[in-house]
Amino acid sequence: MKPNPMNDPLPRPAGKSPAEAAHPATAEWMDYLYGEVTPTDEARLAGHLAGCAACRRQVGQWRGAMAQLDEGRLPFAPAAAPRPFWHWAAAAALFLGLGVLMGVAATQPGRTRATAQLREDLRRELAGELRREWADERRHLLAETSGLLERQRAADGEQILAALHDVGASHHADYESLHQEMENLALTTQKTLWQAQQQIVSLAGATDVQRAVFSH
Amino acid sequence: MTRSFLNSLPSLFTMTDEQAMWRVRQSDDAQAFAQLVRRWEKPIQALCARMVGDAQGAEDLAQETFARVFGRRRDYEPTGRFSTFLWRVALNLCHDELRRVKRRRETFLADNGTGEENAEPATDAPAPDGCLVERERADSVRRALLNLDETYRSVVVLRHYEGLKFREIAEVLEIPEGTVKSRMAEALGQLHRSLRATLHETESHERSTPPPRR
Repeated sequence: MKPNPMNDPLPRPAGKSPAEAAHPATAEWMDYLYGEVTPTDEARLAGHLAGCAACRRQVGQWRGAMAQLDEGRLPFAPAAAPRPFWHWAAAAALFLGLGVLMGVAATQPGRTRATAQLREDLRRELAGELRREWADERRHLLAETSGLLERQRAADGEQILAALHDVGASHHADYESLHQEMENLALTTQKTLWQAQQQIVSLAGATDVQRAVFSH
Repeated sequence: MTRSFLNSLPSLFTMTDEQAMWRVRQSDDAQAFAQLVRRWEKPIQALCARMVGDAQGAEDLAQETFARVFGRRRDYEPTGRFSTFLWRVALNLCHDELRRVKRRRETFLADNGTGEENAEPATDAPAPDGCLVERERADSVRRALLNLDETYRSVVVLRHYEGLKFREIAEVLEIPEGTVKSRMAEALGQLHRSLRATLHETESHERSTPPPRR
């Protein structure tokens, strides 16, 4: 069955009112089903759904498929716990024992086929075991590497923070020194101004005396 | 003020994906890359497992994805989201793997003249009895998903299982958003039909199978 065209997703049954026949587009229904619509559009689409049997049927099928997809959320295969070394030893012992048994069995007539089958099963089982062990080991190494890198990053961060604290303290000392110098400068300036004022006053006094002498 | 600034500094050390990838791109920063792997390993594994139907193969594909991202770090455009770049690389690898599997299967069929029609998802762990029904249902759903065309499957996996918005999927797949939605609708329709057929088959098989003698 071909996909429905975007602008005419659903059949328009004869005898329906224009409002009922104007079905929302497939894209709108997808937005609606996955919660990507505005509240206004959601209300409009819900209203249409309540009054349109064709859309209800179609949306019901989509919802059914979505619910079934949810049932497929179970994990594919649980992660196996890391196996200790003795598992390898046990597997090797099992392999050797079965090899001996197969050798004995192979000498008896009519069992060659069963032996081949058993050998193939064992080969598969051991290959699967090896693969899982390798995956575990890889995961373990990756976790160790990640942890190491994380610790290194944290240590670097602390060093940077300490350096920034030092810079901040140094700035504070500079500021204090600058403040002190500014205060000294202000005091010196004030003193100089006072002296200049005194000189002006004394000069003004001398001028007044001269004027009094010459007027007489 | 200085103290509050200094106190806020540690939060600045948590890099966004884009910042981390930028450092990987500019200075091959191994720490930043490890952080990205830690954040994204599981979602990428899940995506690959859904796409190829093989949990073990998905681990390999996820590792290959990160290896390829590192190899192509100079191609990363800082204007785009890192996740888009990563999903795209992973999906391309999944498509390659599916093509390889298909070729192998065709060769096998040509040599032997028989084979299974449907791909079987990997369920190598034995299920507890209580979970048997759920697991069978889940297997049916996964089989139905694997029987979808790849173009539909990738949309379903990204939207339904990985929770990407339709707009984000359009960016990853580099197709119009409307096409993503129409593919999603078609995929849901196909899944509905295929799972309904499976359910009917199971029911008729159960009816036709005589109960075991005691």
